Amino acid sequence: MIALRKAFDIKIAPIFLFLLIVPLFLRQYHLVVLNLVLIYVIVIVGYNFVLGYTGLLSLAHAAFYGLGAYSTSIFIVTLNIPFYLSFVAGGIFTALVGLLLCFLLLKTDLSGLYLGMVTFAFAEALVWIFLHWEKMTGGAFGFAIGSKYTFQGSPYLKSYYLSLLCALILIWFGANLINSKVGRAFKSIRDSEEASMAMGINTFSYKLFSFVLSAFYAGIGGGLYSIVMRQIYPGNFGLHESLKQFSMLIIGGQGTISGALIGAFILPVLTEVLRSVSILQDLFYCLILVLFIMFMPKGISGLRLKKISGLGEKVFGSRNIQTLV
Amino acid sequence: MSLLQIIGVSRAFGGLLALNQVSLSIEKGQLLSLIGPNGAGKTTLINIISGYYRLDKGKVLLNGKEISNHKPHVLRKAGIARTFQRSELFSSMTVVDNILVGLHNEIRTSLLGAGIGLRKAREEEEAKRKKALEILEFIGMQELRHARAIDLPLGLRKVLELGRAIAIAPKVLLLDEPVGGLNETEAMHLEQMFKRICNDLEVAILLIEHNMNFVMKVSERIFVLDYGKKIAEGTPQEVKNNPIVIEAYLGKQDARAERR
Repeated sequence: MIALRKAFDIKIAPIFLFLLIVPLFLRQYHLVVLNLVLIYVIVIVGYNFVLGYTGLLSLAHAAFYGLGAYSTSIFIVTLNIPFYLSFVAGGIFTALVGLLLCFLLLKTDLSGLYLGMVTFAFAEALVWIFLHWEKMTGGAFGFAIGSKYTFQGSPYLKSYYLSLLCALILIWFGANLINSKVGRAFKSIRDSEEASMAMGINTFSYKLFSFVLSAFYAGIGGGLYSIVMRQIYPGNFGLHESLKQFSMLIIGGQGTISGALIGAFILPVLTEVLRSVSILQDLFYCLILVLFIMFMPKGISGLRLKKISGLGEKVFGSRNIQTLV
Repeated sequence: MSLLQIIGVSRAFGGLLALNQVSLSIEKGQLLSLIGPNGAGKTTLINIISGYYRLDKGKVLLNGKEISNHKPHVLRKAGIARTFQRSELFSSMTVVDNILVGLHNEIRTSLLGAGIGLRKAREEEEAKRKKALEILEFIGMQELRHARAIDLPLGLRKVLELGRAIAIAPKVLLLDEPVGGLNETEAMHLEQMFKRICNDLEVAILLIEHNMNFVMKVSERIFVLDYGKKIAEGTPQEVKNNPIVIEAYLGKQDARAERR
């Protein structure tokens, strides 16, 4: 809990109570939106590991999210596994695919923009499979999970609480990791890979771990998404989704847990607000992304950091060794 | 037996022979400097010892055990620490976290243990944080523990990089131009710190530095490299008066006369 409080830097009890009680008074539509927020919280906290902390440009996150959704659906309907086991299995399956991909990427020594391009191509290939492997995925008509497979009786409320539980566990786990030697290893790779090797960090394994962990989070998020929506389409996980998730992390602020949470909250809510002009949504994301990258590269959570570091300059800027010794 | 022995090490980059049959050895607690004109192969040698480059021929021995061509993170466990010519701090992290990265391998917590925040993991984290503060005290930076590395002035960055290297409790410390860009007072501070590292911690230091006054003051012995070859070796006094060294740095006297 201490790590959690540190990560949020705010009092969590009121927010937790709010998230626990408020859904009881919401209409179904708003309940689903809030559920999506929780799912994005999981997905973006996961994206943050690889992009924000370790500094690897992965553009396959939305596709992993889709892989989690499709594998969960297939486990539930085709293999008839209970849904509460299926979405965990979907997360693990996604993580394994992530492991395979990342292993190949790192073995071929890819980094930076090249890593981004290959993950992007991988993502497109995965979406192509969702669309064209019709026997398995239902193709363009999507994959439906019949109502008998998931929660019985007020399914939206129950799946909301399932998402809440998962989000809390995964944020707590992630915050603990980030505040431990693992988080420091991630950040040190981002800041200087050379120096982190000299500190004894096995950069290969930590990059791999960060990638797999983020794929797992995306897979769990996708699984929960398929349980809530009960119907998924290949188009849910394409370039548009990729852009959306990337925007969330940039707008919230990469490299901080609170940033991931802020981004995951703001964008789905804005999407719903802008639903009536849905054609303009993509344009809106692009605009807001460009503005943030230009004027606020550290995102919303960076506002707070900036204040602190500005203070740092005032206090330490004029110091050198003489005044210290 | 010497602590670190380098025996006949060669390394070529394409057709360029960056190191040609270089041998040297360092004892525990000794400060040894490596000098030579730019491009002499000094940094290449450090990169080979610390595992960043592979060597083509020869051997590197630590306590008589061969460590040639091991990976950097493996060599760190064997006790080899280094700093970089361009300061390579973890710039977005705090001062104390920079030191804690140096203690990475000492923290035994497993990934899962860290993730679920076991009491044991938290206690270990606290203990290492204390140790990091002791190291900061050793280098005189404990007041600045919460500052971010990127906000530090150059002099303090160099000191912090040194502290981070000490944190891994090395047997051998390889320093690549630690005094570059520092003023007189800051250099003096580093000089005292080097002495304490050699004497109190019994670490052997291999130093690359262009600041000759500094090198002459701190070194027990000096090695001179030129075009990848060792051209001289000895105490500062011997090296200073060695005609071959003077030639490498200033050129041949008669050659200059001819040009005139």
